[in-house]
Parts: sequence; structure tokens; C-alpha cells
Amino acid sequence: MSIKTEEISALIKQQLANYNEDLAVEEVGTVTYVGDGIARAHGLENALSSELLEFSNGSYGVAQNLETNDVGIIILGEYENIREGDQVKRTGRIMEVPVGDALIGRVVNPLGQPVDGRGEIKTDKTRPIEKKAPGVMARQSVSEPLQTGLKAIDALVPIGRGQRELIIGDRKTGKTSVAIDTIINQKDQDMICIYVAIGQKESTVRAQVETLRRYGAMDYTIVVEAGPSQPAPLLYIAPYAGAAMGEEFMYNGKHVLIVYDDLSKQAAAYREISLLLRRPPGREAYPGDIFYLHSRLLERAAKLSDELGGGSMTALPIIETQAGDISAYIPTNVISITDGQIFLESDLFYSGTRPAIDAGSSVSRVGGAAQTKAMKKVSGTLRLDLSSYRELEAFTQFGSDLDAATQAKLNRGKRTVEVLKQPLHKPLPFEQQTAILYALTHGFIDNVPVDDIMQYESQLNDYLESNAKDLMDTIRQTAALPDTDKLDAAIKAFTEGFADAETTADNQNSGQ
Amino acid sequence: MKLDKYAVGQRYAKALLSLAEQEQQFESIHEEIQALETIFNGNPKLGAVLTDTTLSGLKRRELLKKLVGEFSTLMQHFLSLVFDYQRMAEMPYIIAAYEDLYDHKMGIAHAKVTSAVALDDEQITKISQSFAKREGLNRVLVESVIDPDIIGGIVLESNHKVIDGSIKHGLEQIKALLLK
Repeated sequence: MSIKTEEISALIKQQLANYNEDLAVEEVGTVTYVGDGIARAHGLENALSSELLEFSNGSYGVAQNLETNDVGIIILGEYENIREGDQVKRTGRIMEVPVGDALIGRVVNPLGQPVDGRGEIKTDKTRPIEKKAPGVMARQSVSEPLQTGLKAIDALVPIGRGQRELIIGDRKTGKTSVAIDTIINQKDQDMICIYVAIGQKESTVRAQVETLRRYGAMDYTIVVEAGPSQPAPLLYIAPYAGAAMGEEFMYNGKHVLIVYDDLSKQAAAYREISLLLRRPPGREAYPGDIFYLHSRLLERAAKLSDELGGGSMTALPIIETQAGDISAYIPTNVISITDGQIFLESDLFYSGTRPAIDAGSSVSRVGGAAQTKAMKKVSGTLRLDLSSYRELEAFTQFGSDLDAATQAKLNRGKRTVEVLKQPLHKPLPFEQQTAILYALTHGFIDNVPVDDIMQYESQLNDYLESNAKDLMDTIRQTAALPDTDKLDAAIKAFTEGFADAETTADNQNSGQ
Repeated sequence: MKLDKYAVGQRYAKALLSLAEQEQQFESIHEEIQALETIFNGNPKLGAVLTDTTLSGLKRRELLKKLVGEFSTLMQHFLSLVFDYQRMAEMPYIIAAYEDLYDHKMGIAHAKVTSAVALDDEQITKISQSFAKREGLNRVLVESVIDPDIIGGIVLESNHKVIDGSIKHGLEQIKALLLK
């Protein structure tokens, strides 16, 4: 390809024709202190709170503290080459990030710049990262379900579109996996997902992006990434940038799922900034407005009223606890802000119950209204079964004689725990979840050995898809249970076949 | 909470200014402040010496007497007061704050004009007049700086405001436009 110089000069000429020299009148300040990602500047008397400022090296900053003699600024980007005495310019704008369809499938930093090496993001739309959440009249209550594809969540702690459900647990209990599986399950659900990784190891984020790509989830996902090596201000703004990107879709009537992974690290970044800006420290050295930091972020998740297009933004914030201490400052704050929480327990995780959801302390305050009729019917007794099982389990450790009723309860409980287990990255469509839970609660599995339940489940799904497709279609389309007699008959037929097959297999095994 | 040096300067300067106005010694006090500024600029450690507690109070007072000798009564009182409150170290800030307040009251601004070539008096007057008109000021005191780096045009800086009409700035704008 040859580029003609005349063409280029013609282009430049055209661009220059549009150039009109105007006197730049700017308000400036002088840097008096710089370090640790923050700067102080003398002057800038008219700067507004959280106004975007430009340093002479091209980096941007945000005015945070407006004091009598100087302004405290957080620096977004390079600060090593800012010197004392440099100029800082006001821009008159507040911070914005690019938004729109062009971001889908991309990995960006909190400023909206691509970090996946796949070229420029072509969009001319931007949104301020800090925006007031929709008010009372702009909202409606949560009514549509968000299927996570995880039996334990969809049955016990259902999530509705527009809800804020906290995922909380110690390190290494599968918090991120729950979120990633939920994103994977949104395929063909008309959902746009945003995964905000705050202070996560770059290698982990890379692995998550690869997972999402492998399951085809990057086609509808934006990843916002602020790694641990980035300065604290970027970690602090990352969730707001993600929320701004989500709002663009929400206000256009679409459904958005946003995962903040994780807000404890964002709180730590904000604490760092606040201490450096010399704001008074409070409990656990967090500043006074740490509650507002999270409440204003999570308030932006909403189900909009029909007049505003009925879009929604569902938020799944993640909080990491230390040694199961949920009464620490940040966990209690976020628990009180959200509409429920999913508790992940390390004991359960290591005993093989994965996802390690603690059914007793996990709740969803509004999701029940969004649960499908079919799921409501089959999951009604589940929570009760589980809690009575946990209670009895402690007693039966001593191994005494049990009456038949207790034995039955224990049996059901063991199988319930087993059914709620689910392998990684294998979300189930809701009709299959309904079928297996129906089989469980109606006692079809009571005679299946506990170790065979996984196998039973996958074979049942195959069987129903091929032999009772009309029943499955009914669940899929109407979201209600089909004719129970037919369903009973189908499951019964399969269970008998399964038992026979097992016996033959066992006989063969013992014969060898 | 301990006051910072800027806040201290503001308070003493404000008090002195309103007293000077009341006593109708507005102009003379300003001249005396300027004289004081020259003294402090000439001896940067003077303030520190006058508040140094390792020197005996008597010695310091002798030094102060020499310093205040030629000033008016009002100014002498003021300096003694600042000395008694151990604020002599903050004197430069008091002076700076006083000048600021005085300038603000009189509608005077200081401006730094950067140009590539030396400007003649007529040009400087013209610049100062038009800037004064634009900002609604009575008088603009211009300090002229020559910097060949800006290629042409002028850059005017005053009171944290920059009006940039230099060729260098224009070229930067063109560069940004072409890179878009």
C-alpha cells in the first residue's frame, strides 16, 4: 500500500482550516507536594470538588480536598515525573469514562483505556464516573429473575434483576468462581456483564478473562481491571468507572450485571488515599465517609421504571473477610447496604461442598419476588430440610440408634447437600435445576446411594431432554411446573432404570 | 489545633490593615511594610533569631529596639505585639498577606508577562491597560520576562490565571488536533 503525500497534506490542510487560534485562559496552581499518588497544589482557588485537573506532564488528577491554602489532588497515572513547582491546570470538567457498545468484549483500565492490546476503543460517548443514583420515582421493585445457574443460589437465595447481592467469605472459598459462573450463565439471556477486578493479581485476572473467553462469555462482557501495582487512586475509582459503563446500558433499557471483585480492596485503597490526604482516621483507620463510599456506589444498581425503559443493573459486590469475621467494619457496612448476602464458608469448601454456600446465614431480601413459580414450588422445603439436617447431624455424631423419622430426615438432608453441589463453570439451565430439585423434594432420590447422585443428576437431565422434552419445554416457556403426574411418571421411570443399571454395573464390578 | 503559617499571616495582616485604615495611615503603613519587607529579605534569618528561645529575652528585645527604631508609633506597637506573641518567624507571611490585602483593596494586580523578545514600555503599558480593563482592576504592575522558548506572542500570568497567546501553545494545539 502506498500513501500519497499529497493526500496527507490535503488532509492536514483540511484539518488546519478548522483550526482557529484562541487565547487559552487557564486557571493554574503550583504543585507544593507530590508523592504516593497524591499531590498538593497552591492556588486553584476556584477548583471544584472532584474536578479533573491536568498536570504539566499530561497526567490527570482529581481535586479531593479543598483547603484554605491548597488543594489535595489524587493523581491518576504517572506521578514520578511531576515535580514540585510544576503547574496544575483546571479543566472545568469532572472525570468521565468512555461508554457504549464498543467496550463489550474488551479489557480496560479504570480510565477506559484498553489494556488488552486490541487497539483503540471507538466510541464518542462518555459518562461521568460519579453520578447520582436513580431516585424513588425512577425505580420499580425487582420482578425478573437473574439466573445464576447455581442450584444452591437459584433455589435458596434467588437474585432478581436490579438487586444488590453481596458475596462474602474468607479467602479461597470460591467467591470469584460464583461470580464468574453467574457471568457464564448469562449467555443468550440478553444481559451485559461487567467484571470489575480491583486489586486482583494480574495473573488471576488473565486466567478469568481466558475462562470467560473459553465459554464465549466475552461476547457480552466488559472487564475493568485495576491491578495491585497500580496507584491507589485507580483502584478507588475502578468500581465507579464500571458503574458508569453499566449505567449507559441500563438507561438504554438493557439489563446489566456488574461484579465488584472485591470492595474490601477498594476500601483499603481509599483508606490509603484518605490517610495521605490527612483526613482524620476513624474505626480501623478508615475515613469517616467509608460507608458513603460503598452506599453511593451500590445505590446505582437499580431496576428502572417502565417510563425510563425498564432497564436494570444488578450488582454482585464481593467482600473478603478475615477468618470468618463478618463483624469487621467493611463487611457490616456492605451487609447493611445490600439486599442480602451469599455466605461462603471455608469449612464447607474444604469438606467438598462446592459452591460452599452456607444456607443458614445466606439470605436474599428481595429476590423471592423474582423467583419463578416452578422454582418456588420445588425449593419451598429445601431450607427447612437443610437446617434440620444440620441440627440432627451434630447429634448423630455419637452414632446411637435412631427412629425412622430421624433417619429419613438425615437421609434427605445428606442428599440435599449432595444435590446442591455443583462443579466449577458448569451452570445449569433453570429447567434442569427444577427437575432435579423436584426429584429430590418428592423423594425420588431417597433410595439412590449418595455417591451416585452426581451421575444420577446428569443422566436425569439427558433422559428428560430426550424422553420428556415437552415437559421440559413447558417449564422453560411458562416458568411453572408442568402436569405433575406426567413429571412424576417420567422421573419414576428413569429412577427405576437408573437403579437397575447400577445393580448390573455393581455385579459386573464385583464379578471381575 | 495549631494554626498554619498562612492563617497566622492572614490574621495579623488583617488586623493591621483595618487599624491603619482607622488611623488614616493607610499609605504610610504600606510604605513601612515595604521597608520591613526589604529588611527581612536582606536578613532571611531575622525572624528565626527573634523567636529563638536559646537567646535570652533581653538580647532579643535589644535587637527588636534597633529594628523598630525608625518606624511610626503604630508600626512600633505592631512589631512589639508580634514579638511578644513569638510570631516574628511568621513575619514574611504577615507581610505577604498584608500586601495581598492592600492590593486587593486598591485594585492592584501583579502580572508576569513572558515574551520571546524584549517589549518596549509602550507595549507593556498597553498590555497592562487591557488586562486591567478585562479584570476590572485599577492598576496592573507588569514584570517582564524574556523566554525565547515560546517562539512568539506573549504569555500573561497573574493571580493563578494564565492567558496563553504564545506560538508554542498554538503549535501544541495544532499537534493535538492532528493527532486526533
